[in-house]
Amino acid sequence: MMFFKRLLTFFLCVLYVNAANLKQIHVLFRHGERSPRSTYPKDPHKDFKWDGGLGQLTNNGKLQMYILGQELRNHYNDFIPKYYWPVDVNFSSSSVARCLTSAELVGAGLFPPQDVQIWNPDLLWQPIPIHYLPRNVDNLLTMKSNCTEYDNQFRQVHNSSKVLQYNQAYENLYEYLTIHTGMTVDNIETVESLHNTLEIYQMNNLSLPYWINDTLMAQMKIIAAQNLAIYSETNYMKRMKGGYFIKTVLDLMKSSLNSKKVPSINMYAAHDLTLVHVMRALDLIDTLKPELGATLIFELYDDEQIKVYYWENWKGKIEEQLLPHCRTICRVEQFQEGYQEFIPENWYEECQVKI
Amino acid sequence: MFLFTTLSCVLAIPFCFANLSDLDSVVVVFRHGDRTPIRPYPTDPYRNRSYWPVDWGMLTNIGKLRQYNLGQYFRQRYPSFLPAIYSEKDIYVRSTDVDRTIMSAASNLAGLYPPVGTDIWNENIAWQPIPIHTLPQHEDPILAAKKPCKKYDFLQKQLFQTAYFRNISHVNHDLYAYLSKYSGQTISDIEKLEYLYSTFQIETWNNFTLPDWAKKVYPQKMEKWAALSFATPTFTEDLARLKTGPFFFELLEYFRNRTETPRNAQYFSPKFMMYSAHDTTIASLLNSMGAFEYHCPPYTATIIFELHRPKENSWYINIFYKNTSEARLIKVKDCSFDCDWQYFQQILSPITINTKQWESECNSLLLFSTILNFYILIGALVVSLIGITVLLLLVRRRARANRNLYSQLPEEEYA
Repeated sequence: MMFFKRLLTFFLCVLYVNAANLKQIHVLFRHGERSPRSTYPKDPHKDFKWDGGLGQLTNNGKLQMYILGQELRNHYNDFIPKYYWPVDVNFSSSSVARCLTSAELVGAGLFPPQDVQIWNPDLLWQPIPIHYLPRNVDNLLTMKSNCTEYDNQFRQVHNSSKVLQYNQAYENLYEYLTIHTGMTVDNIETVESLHNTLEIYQMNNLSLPYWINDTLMAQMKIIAAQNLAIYSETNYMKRMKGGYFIKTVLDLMKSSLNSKKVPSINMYAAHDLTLVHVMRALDLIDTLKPELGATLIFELYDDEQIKVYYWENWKGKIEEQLLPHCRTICRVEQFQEGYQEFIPENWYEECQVKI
Repeated sequence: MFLFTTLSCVLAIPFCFANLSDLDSVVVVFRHGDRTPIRPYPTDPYRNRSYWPVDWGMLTNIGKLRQYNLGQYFRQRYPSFLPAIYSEKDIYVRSTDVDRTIMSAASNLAGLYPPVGTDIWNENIAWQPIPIHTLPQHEDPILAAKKPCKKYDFLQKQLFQTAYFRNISHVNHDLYAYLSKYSGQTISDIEKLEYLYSTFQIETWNNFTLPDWAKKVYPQKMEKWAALSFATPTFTEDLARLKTGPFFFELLEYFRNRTETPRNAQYFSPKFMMYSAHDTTIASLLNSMGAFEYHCPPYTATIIFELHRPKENSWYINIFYKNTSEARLIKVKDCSFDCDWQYFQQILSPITINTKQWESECNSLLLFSTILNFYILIGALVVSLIGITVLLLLVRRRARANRNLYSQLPEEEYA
């Protein structure tokens, strides 16, 4: 009996899923490959000349973002209209140049002009506006706007036993890195930024010095991920960082369900930290170091179902994520209920509250 | 009007291509490319969206191309000055936070920086991404000039009370009534008239036949007033200072930085600043400098500021206005060709204000310097003194009467 009941539910579910139409998507992605932001004193590639300067997208990174746009077009071809209409689409970006340019490139891959939209036959590209907020007021993507209580908690985390344990565990590694880099390495943040730089060298076929091997790189990557996670160590911190993004997405979803005029395609160009913040607020991960071009997608269906996907990068598979605080079929209402603790009601007020 | 500008440019051709070998830095401000009407009027035969290729107020294909060509013009004007390889150290691009201006900047950059050499990231596309910076519309007193300013609003209201503007309303009474009747919306001032005029213009350019009632007044009877409407936001020096002062402050700061910072300094500002904005921006900037010949600035109309350094410690400014195919030198007060940099700052100082000052002036209505406001101030003081005295007396009486009750009120500590 039980078995049949389940079978019946299963079929009903399948039917239901098939009947629902995609209504809105939110695509949050990390920018493409960039040149290093910093070097270290004993860096053999310290004086390497990067086209376009430090911290900018490389040509390879530009291509990655363009391909990401094309792949999104392939994946959502039935949903994303052939023509670019600003009412359907919104591109938001962090204020940083590599994100602004990444957004422009994804737009170029997603919306190559078709027939009537071709304005210059020699140039199959069309301008797409990218919107952003100044860094000091952007709590959506850079997530750097002032928040008193968050800053308090972050300070506490920094002095917590967890970080202390990290520092004890990595004592030997810090010493090793300090000797070989020529700069003081005594915290996980420095290890993360060093890992970023070395990873970029690797991707650009710049040989790494003898004292670095694959095991060390892998270990540093784990530490990098740990560092990204401590920015959302407590539930309150998750709520104030990734939670604000989720709230924004939910609000747009609700507007769409209430037939308000909101874009059905919402693109967000941001950073590895942004993705970690959001995925930790969704309780999808403990630690993660998102790849370049890593993408998190929220889908809304007209039966109010929400689905979340993670795409490690455009070369891999898009993988659906089970939302731990929601049901298998997760509707907006249940999502809101399940994630109540992670979604701020009034961000600005909650920043002032002492917890 | 247009004939005049064209003619003067032909006559001024020697100035159109001034010597660029000692050029140090350039600031350009332009209007976006061709757009659809912002909002059609209620009785508009073409108010159905299907008549138009893109949504209301959006950049059209022709607009993109016109901007692309403007970008190519900049490339031709500054072939050696601006390196062909893009670098964020050479150029900073700023736009108002409006789709058509951001898209205009992007199209312009496609013409200015077609990828060459190491900039080529994809053989199949002659375009590369370049960041375009914006500030939210209501947080932007510099370019959008839409951040609310109480003092400005007050002064503008005063302006419209003057005999000159009251007379305009009087003269236009019948025209306003006629336009209101047939367009189905209230046209009660020249600004609203200009919106309608602009819609007529766009429809005419798109080969749509205007209704007969419109043909009777467009363009002749409306043109003059539409053109005048572009001058009113900066009609007096006070208005000009509050409307365009923050921009001129940024402009002068930028050039000052160029003249004072050592060449090898790490944070040397880019040599080329690009601002993508609106017809009102162009008109207001020109009018504030006293160089506005009443007209409606056309698509891609551009103001070019060029800073030259012919020799050590000698700096000159040239300003051009390009609303046709050629840029024409303009005169600011008595300064035209190779205007001395120090003198130029002096000329602009009355209409320059930094954003901090701007904020405080905008919000302090009581600090006006006009005689009228002096009386208002005195009046307000007298009234409030009397009011406070009466209140104090009342409160003391109450307090005496309810002394016991009063001390028990729980809100007391919050008073």
